[in-house]
Formats: sequence, structure tokens, C-alpha cells
Amino acid sequence: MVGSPIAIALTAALLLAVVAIPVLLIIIAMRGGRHMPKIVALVSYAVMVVVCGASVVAAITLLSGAAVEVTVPITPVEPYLPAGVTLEPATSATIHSGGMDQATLVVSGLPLATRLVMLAALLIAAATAIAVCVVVIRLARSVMSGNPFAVGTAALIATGWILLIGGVSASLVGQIGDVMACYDLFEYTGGTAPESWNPAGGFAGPGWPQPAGFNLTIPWWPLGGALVLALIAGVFRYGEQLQRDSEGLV
Amino acid sequence: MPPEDDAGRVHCRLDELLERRGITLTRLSEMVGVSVVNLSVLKNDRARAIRFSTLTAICDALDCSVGELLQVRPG
Repeated sequence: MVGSPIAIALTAALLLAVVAIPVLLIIIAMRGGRHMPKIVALVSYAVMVVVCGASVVAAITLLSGAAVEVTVPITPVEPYLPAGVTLEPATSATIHSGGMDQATLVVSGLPLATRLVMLAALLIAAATAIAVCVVVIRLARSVMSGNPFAVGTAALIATGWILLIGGVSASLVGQIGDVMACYDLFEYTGGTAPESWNPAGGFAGPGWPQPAGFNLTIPWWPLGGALVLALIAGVFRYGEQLQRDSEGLV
Repeated sequence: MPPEDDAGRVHCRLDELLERRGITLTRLSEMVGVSVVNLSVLKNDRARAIRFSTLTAICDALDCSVGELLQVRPG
């Protein structure tokens, strides 16, 4: 369907919106940004609504055991051709090493434990996003009310910790859920095959990948986000000090 | 840094100086270019700090010294 005119038009419209909205916000900010806090607050409210809605739908889907899309890590499979097949390369590009190390699948019938772990990752990520949106809304409101430092450094530092712990744990729990789903899907206890069929190197080559095992990757973006919030908290502390110093000054 | 409470020991004699010279707060505001609100804060001893420029302008307008305008009460 990717090639249909409607799909192309929709993709183009979506891309335009994705590019246009940030550009519009930057233009507004550069023109003095009088309405910027209101726009930021509205966008944050919209993000909260979308996150809540998407989380509820995803949670219901997971708990009901309906088909869900998962991306699971697999033992890398090198691209290969069946014996006797050769292709004329389109360019001079050649593969030296590596392989396909993950599979995106629509699956159903996952065990409850796996679904609960995936649900936990989803809820942690949603709660983290909502916490960040709440502090952004509070910041925007305090700017609109003419008291930009009303949010306070403690709230910003707390949000930094939430972002750090929530972001890292959501990613790690999500990866654990993916690995569990991978084992649930690709592990086998036995099977049958034609007598003559004996693939070297297991079943990965012919199309049945093996789970990659626990190889957790710690994401660094929550640490970056938390550091930015800590920096903003430092700026706010300085601003509060200046505001206090100027109180009662004539 | 000196204690914050000490700011309350400074007494501004703006009220007496204005009365003696027959000048209203509004008129002084026009003369020195400081808002009536800020002058009122100063007059009622609610100010916690004063700019040198404000001090100079008030002293010039009322033809007085800093010592006549501000007094430090004993702690």
C-alpha cells in the first residue's frame, strides 16, 4: 500500500506536519515568544492525552492476549541465498560481516508473565512521560503568571530523578519483556523434519531465528535529560536568589 | 552576608521631610522619577534595599543629606 497515491499523500502530509510544527514553534519563540508558554502547555496537555490513550489501548490489548507487535532480539542471521542461487549485484556494495539481529513480529498467545513485564515497561514509560509533561505545564503556567521561578528547584530535581529512573527502568524492563517474548516464540522442545534435511548451524539460516539472550543496553538519553533538568534547576536557584535580592528594592 | 533582619532597623524619615517641605508623595514621584508605589514602600519602612540613584534623587529633590533621610535604630 506504500506506493498508492493516498498513502503517499498521507505520508507527505504527516511529514509536513512533523516538520511544520517545530518550525512554527521556533518562529513564534524568535518573535518574542509571548504565546510560547501557552503553546507549550497545550502541546504538553495533548501529549499527556495521547500517552494516556495509547497506554490504555496498549494495556487492554496486552492483557486481553490479542495480537500485538513486538520487536525481539535474535542471534544475528547473515543474509544468505539457498544453495545454487546467484544474483547479479545492482552496485559494487558488498557485505563484509554482520546480520539481521532483530525481528518485528505480530504475535498472540504470549504467556501472562511476559505480557505483564511488557505492560510494566509500558506503564513506567507512560508515567515518566506524564511526569515530565506535568512539570513542563507547571513551568509554562508559572511563566504565564509572571512568576517564572514558582515551580522551584526541588520539583525540577525530582523530575530529573523521575526521568532518569523511569527512562532507564522502562527501557530495561521493555528489553527484558522483548527477550522473554523471543524465548516464548522461538524456543522449541522438539520437532520433525525430512530425513534428508539437516541444515548446518541450526535452524536460523532456513528462517527460524534463535533468541539473542539477555544483552541489556542501558539508554543514555534519560541521563542527558536529567542533567539538563538539573542544569535548569541550577539556573532557577540563581533566579530565585536574584528575585529574593530584588524584593523590596526601591 | 549581614542578617536579613537588620534591614528592618533602618527607618526612613521621608514622611517628616515631605511634610516639612509641603511636598506630596505624588509630586516627589514626578520629581525623582520613582513610582509612587516604590516611594510608599520606602516611606512605610517596607523597603529592604535602596538604589544609590534613588537615594541621590530623593536627597537632591528634598535638599537633605542621606543621614537626614535614613536612620538606623539601635538593635
